[in-house]
Amino acid sequence: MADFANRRILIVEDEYWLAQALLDEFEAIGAAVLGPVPSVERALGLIEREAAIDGAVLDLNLGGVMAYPVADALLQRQVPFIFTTGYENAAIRAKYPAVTSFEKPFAFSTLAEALARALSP
Amino acid sequence: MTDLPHLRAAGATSLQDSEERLRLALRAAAMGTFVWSIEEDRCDVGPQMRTLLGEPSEIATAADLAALIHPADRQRYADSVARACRLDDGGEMRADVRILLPGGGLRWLAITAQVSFEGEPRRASRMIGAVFDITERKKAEAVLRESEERARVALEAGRMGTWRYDLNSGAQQWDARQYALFGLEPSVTPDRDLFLSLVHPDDLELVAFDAASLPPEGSFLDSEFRIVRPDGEIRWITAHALARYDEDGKPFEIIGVNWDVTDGKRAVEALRESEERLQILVGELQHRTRNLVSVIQAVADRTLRSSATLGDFKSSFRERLAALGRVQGLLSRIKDNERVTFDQLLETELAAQASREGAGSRIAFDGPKGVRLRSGTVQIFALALHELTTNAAKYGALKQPNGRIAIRWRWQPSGEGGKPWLHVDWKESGVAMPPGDRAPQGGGQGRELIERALPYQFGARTHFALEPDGVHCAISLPVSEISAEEALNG
Repeated sequence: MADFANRRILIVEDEYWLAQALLDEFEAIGAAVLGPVPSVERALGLIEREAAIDGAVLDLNLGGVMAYPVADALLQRQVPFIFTTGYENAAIRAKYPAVTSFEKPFAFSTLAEALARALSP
Repeated sequence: MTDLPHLRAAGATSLQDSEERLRLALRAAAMGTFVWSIEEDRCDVGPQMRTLLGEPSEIATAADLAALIHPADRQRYADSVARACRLDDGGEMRADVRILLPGGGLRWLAITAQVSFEGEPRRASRMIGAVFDITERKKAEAVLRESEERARVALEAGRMGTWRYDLNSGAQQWDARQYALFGLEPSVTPDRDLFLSLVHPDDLELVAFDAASLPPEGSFLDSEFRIVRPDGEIRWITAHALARYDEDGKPFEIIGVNWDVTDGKRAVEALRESEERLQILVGELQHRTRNLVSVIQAVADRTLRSSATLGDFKSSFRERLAALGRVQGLLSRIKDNERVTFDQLLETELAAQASREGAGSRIAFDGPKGVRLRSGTVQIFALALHELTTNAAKYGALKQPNGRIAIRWRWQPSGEGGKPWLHVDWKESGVAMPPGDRAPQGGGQGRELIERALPYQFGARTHFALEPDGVHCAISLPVSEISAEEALNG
């Protein structure tokens, strides 16, 4: 399993249980979790407040609102991140060709490895 | 005078020549002649005419000739002879008749004759006539008539209008059905401008054509376009047309048929819309299913964590899956733009417990029907209600003999954030609580759902307390905005 010791990982996920599961899993591999937060508004607030963010997991659909503003804010800060989506989405690949997408449900270990690769290119 | 015999000989030769030439011409034209001396009723029929009549045995009188005519044509023939013999009618006669050939079969003959009048008082004395064979022409006419009849039947069956467009004069001719297709009275004179004025503005380029690039002879010009009838109705028209060319290869007219394909178009459109809707539904279903899987995963994790034995896990997990199953049933029954209402959800969840416990009378409901929930909140909200009900059934108001539950709810049209909110108050009473602040068993997952999941996921405001005579729980959450009017009226 990838080592996330002291990595500051932002979790943006509107589903409580999924957010909790990600929180538990990331903490178990040593990450310092920022959030989780369930909405675009709260994610943007957190990104603005936090000086250091190493990586992020971003749910594309936050209570029916697309997470594009969050993705753009992360890209602007050059924070590597991964999308999680509830369905196959061709538009997202066209819009963010460099960002990896995971369709739910996914195995956490695969997601963690993909994020680790994005963190240390 | 010496020249006379010579002259006579020349005259005779010229008469013979001209008779010979006449005979040749008559033979070439398949034409026969006859002379009828009316007073003596003597018929003199030429050899060519005999051949045309099929070599009958004897034709001496007018009656002999009439006997060869088809019975159905005899009266008509007799009438035209009688008319020609009337003094004041010029003596001309024309009749097309069928001849019954002695050897069997029919032949159509056209008879043209002239009656001459003589004597004092003048009377019809002689009829000289020519006949020729028109059987082939009559056959061709019959074939043409039949093919026209077939075309007419086809046009009528297909509700087709026909038209002709003269490229030189710009004039058009429409038939009655063509007028009907375009919703016009037949008194209107059609032309290209009239036609174009009826075509839907967006489809004008579909009917445009360039006289220089019309399809060659024998190829069809097909188009499909909308028209706007004078009464405003829009119809779909299909056109199938043919350009016709003169000997110089220059197009001189276009002829075509039009028919109405609106019903077919609408059916296809409806099918396409229904397919699109289906695509959206499939996408939504996929989303919902994946969502459900992640909920089940979490429920399994949480249940496993709070179960002492696998037996505990099995029964709790089953009940929670059953609760999720009931919600899926509710969700699958509602249509587009509809929402699951809070009273439906409450009834679905409580009915399962209340009937089993025989405890329906111990639950009091107080609140409006028809408060529509946001689709995304239904699943988790149902699980929260399930946990409250299950705890009441296992340890609380539905378990203990004096227990009561009062469920009150209220709909707030403009709550926090200017959105409609639902406020639910679940108050148990008459329950002997365990000593100290030890929570009833199994309450962990319910509390987490109410105190953490609902606020996190839906921005709900919740409160959960173990009061001296039972659980008291308050849940406020934003609900669907389309519920506003219906909820007031409901």
